[in-house]
Order: sequence, then structure tokens, then C-alpha cells
Amino acid sequence: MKKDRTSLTLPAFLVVTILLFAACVKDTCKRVYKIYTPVYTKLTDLRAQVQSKAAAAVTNTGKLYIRGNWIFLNEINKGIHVIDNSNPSHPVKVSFINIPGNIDMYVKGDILYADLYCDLLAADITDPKNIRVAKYLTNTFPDKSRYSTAVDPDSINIITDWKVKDTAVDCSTAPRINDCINCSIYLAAPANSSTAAVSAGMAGSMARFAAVDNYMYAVTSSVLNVIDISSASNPWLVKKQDIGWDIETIFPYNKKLYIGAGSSMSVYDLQDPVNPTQQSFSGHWCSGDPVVADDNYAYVTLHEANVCNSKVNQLEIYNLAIPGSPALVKTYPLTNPHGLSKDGNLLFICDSGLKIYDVSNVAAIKLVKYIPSENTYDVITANGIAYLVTKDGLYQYDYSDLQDIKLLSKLLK
Amino acid sequence: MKKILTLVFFLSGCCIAHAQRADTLRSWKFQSINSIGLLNGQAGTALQLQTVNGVQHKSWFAGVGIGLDYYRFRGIPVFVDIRKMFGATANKFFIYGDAGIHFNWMTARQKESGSNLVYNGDARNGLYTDVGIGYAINTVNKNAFILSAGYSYKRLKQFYTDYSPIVVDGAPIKSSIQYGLNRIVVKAGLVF
Repeated sequence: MKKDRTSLTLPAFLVVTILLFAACVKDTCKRVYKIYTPVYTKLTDLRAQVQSKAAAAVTNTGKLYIRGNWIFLNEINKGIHVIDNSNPSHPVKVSFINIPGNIDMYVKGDILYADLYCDLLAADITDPKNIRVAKYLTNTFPDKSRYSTAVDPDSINIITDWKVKDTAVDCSTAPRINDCINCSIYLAAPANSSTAAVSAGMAGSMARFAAVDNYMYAVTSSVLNVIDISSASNPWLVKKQDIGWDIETIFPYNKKLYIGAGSSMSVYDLQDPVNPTQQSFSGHWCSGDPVVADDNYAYVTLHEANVCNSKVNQLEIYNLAIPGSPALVKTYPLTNPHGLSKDGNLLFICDSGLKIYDVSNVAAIKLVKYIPSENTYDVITANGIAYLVTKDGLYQYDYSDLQDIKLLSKLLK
Repeated sequence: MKKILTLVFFLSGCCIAHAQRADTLRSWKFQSINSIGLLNGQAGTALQLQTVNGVQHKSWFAGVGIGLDYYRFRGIPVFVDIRKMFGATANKFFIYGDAGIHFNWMTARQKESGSNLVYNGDARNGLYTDVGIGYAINTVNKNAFILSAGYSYKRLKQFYTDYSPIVVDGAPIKSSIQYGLNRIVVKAGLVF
């Protein structure tokens, strides 16, 4: 019995000894993420790159603008494809206008307005193969790439790229602000953003540029720029007007501007075109939200957005009968909608393909046609042709006969 | 007589061989080791439950085990267990080593994180190990009560979608957190 007691003493001693080592063991925690370091280019050097080049392959489609027989298709952050669409069945790429940092565009007569990072440029495109820049308006879009207040392009450096490096750091020392990696970099340096889009004489619903008479309106994420374009080649920034935050799109209709924001739709009246006046504000879920309108209704698509983890995907229809107080008529669930376009009683929505609705009765709209396609971004409808931009390229459909919609052409990567 | 002697010789040989085979089979013995443990480390103390089933041959044991591990992140370790007994007395010291995979089974709370980190539901299982020493005290019917202490390690990785103000190619930024969890483990159990 004494032996048994002795034999228990040793293991008990070992257990106690090992437990004493418990304080010595430490857990490890490594956070692995990508760290972004900005690459700067002088604004002067970027402006020097603005020129016509030979027609190039479509690789990363952006916004679309249509004017007459011409299609202007943005290549995100690279420039604009100029396409002769005299024959919609055989569009011909004529040239590529190289514009670093370009996302949006608008055309008046022979003058193209386009953003070059935070500049707005006006260029004569009478000969698309040999464009000529007429003017730069510096610092028009400061939130695209914060320049500082300098005006000398030689003294302005712009973030044109990011070097990406995988990084692993101890969790306790990860450089972050409220768990936001790279925020410290963002706050320390000018930021750059890239946003896919389509826009034209007719712009798409995802456009940030719109024009009414002699004024062009260009939105940043929080500011409405009013630009006098009465002298087309000599645009003049008349006014910067704060209009909220998370502004995404602008759509002009009937002397009004319909402005889509991350969590609202606002209508601005243009009785005084230099001083747009907010007529109404309609809040909704945090979401991406292009908008189009007609005489009676505004149509807004909401799609899930990374920035606020929104999972809302729907169409909202507002009655505009009472100025200043749009009334929500009805919402319709969708899959992941983006741009939309209206033609008569037909509403075209990019929603994991192209969906065409009969909206003659907004309280009970009917899906009349669905054309499956992946990554549809925006659509413009004009003269019985739907110009559809997807991640793959540009499609043109003849929908003059809804029962027999024909694919006229596709300009793919 | 010669034939009888020859027959006896063969029969005895068969019997001896049969007895040797029986002895050999008797030396392989199925065992089930069931234990409850405490894991102690930087993240505090947590419960562990394990069952290991295998065979003992002479002083060696080999088996497979499965358990529940509540340290920091809940998981299910599945592992191979090898142990060696020492001593000729009824009560024996032993050493053991486990190696396998820790399968994540996180609670909803364990999937939560900082305000701007969004766990995307993806986690990678990782290595599980446990080495230690113990003491087995024989009880009735050749069953035993065991006490052991050792060092245990498990690794896992969680993936997140990160909020970042820098948008490149429109793709959300992903990051991950890799944990290496070191614990001292003390177990008590029964061997059947």
C-alpha cells in the first residue's frame, strides 16, 4: 500500500510541474493581408499621354456614350474607344483616345469632355484619329485623386497605380485603424478609385456627366460641378455645389437632374441652371442606385454594395406627381441590378442579363423578355436598339420586334 | 510404434505451433482510452474530451482518436495516437504522441471579429498535435485509470473580406488571420 502511495506521488509531481509551465506557452496570431503602396506620376506626364491611337482591343469595358452614329466606349482608367456605328450590325473601331484615369465622358458637337483623374479635359474630336486637347480644368474631381491645391501640373503628383505586396504581421502590431487595413495609407496619401461604367448624345444611367442646354453637370462623390459649355471648346467651371455624400450617378430629364447616391435619390430643379435646387430627397437602403425617369415616374435599381454590406437587390418606382415629394409606388425584387434605360412603356434593366419589363402599369410591371448574359453593367436604348455593356464587351440588340429580338453585333474582348 | 511416435511428434508440433499463435493473438489487445482534459494556455482554460481506440501489443499501443476541443475556437481533432508503456509493475508510466487534423467547428460568436472585418465563412482546418507523459493505474479486470500531462498545439486560419478605402479592380480585399494555439493539457481517463 505504501508502494502504491509512492507510485502516485511521482505522476502528481509531474502534472504539477507541467502545469507550472502553462504560463510559458503563448498563442501566435498572424494577420496576412495585402499592403498597397502608391505609384505616382506627374500630371504633366499624364497630360502628355492624351492622344489618338490606333483602334485597340476592348479589354475592360466602362461607361458608354452614344452620339449619332458614334459610340464612345470607356476603357476603364485607360481612355475611350471611338466606334463608327453607321451599321449597327458591323460596328467599326476607328481609334482609341488614350486618356489616363478616364471613367466618364460627354460629347457636345465635336468636343469631347472627359475626366483625366481629377482634371476635366475638352478635346476636339472632329478627326477621331487625331484629337486635339483644347483645355484642361484642373481639380474638377478632387475626390478621384486628391491633388492638393497646386495648379502647376509639374508640381502635382497623381497616384496612377498601386504596388501590392503580401504582408504578414503579428495581430497585435497590424497597422490598422478600427480594423481597416490600408486606411493609414489611404489617409496618408491621395487615393485612386476605379469604377466600371457605360455612357452618350445619350449617356447611360451609370453616368456621372450630364448636360442640359449650355451647362454640363458632373458629380463627384459629394459635389455637383456646374460647368458652362456654351463655348464648347472653352469650358468654364461655374460652381461647385455640395450635394451630400456617396453620390454615384446623374440622369437629366425634363429640366431636372435625378441624382443617385449610395442611400438616396435626389431631384434637383434646373429653373436656374447655374444654381440647381434640391426639389426632393428620398432615402433608401445603403446600396448602389442608378436612376432613370420619365414624366411621371422615377425608376431606381438598388444593388448590393460592398461598402455597407448591403444585400438589397431591387427596383424601386417613385411617383413624381407631387413635385418635391416623390412617393414610393412599389418595389420589385431583382437579382443584382445595375444600369437601366427606359423607352416608352419598356424598362430595360441589367440584372444578370438584360430584362425587359412592360411598365405601363407600374403597380404590376411584367417581364416580357429576358436575355441571359453575365456581368451586365449598363444599357442605353435608342431607335429600337439596345446598347448593352457587359464585362465582356458591347452588345447591340434590335428590339423593334419584342417577340423577335435580334443580336445585331457584339464587340468583345 | 515408429508410426505412433511419428504421429505424436507431428501432433505435438501442431499443438505447440497452435499455442504459439494463440499466445501471439492474446498479445494483441483492443483498448479504448476515454479521457476528459483541461487545456491551459494564453487564452485561458478550456475543456477537452477524447476517445482513442486501438490495439496494444506488448508495451506499445496504436490507435485513432477523435475529440472535442474548446480552446479559443471550438473544433474536432481527429488524430493518430501512439503510446509506449514502461515498467514491469501493474502500474506503468507511459509516453504518448498524437498527430492529426483539427477540424473547425466554430460557434457564431467565434466567427465574429472587428467592426470592419467581415468573416466570409471560410476557415481552413489545421494541424493538431499532442505529446506528453502519463501514468496508468490498474484497476479491476485489467482496466486502468490514467493521468497524463503534455503539450498540445492546434493551428487554424480564418478568412475575411476586408473593408479598405483603396479599391483596385473593384475586387474586395481579402485577408486572413492564422492562429497557432499552444496549450498545456492535463487529462484523466479510463482504459477499457
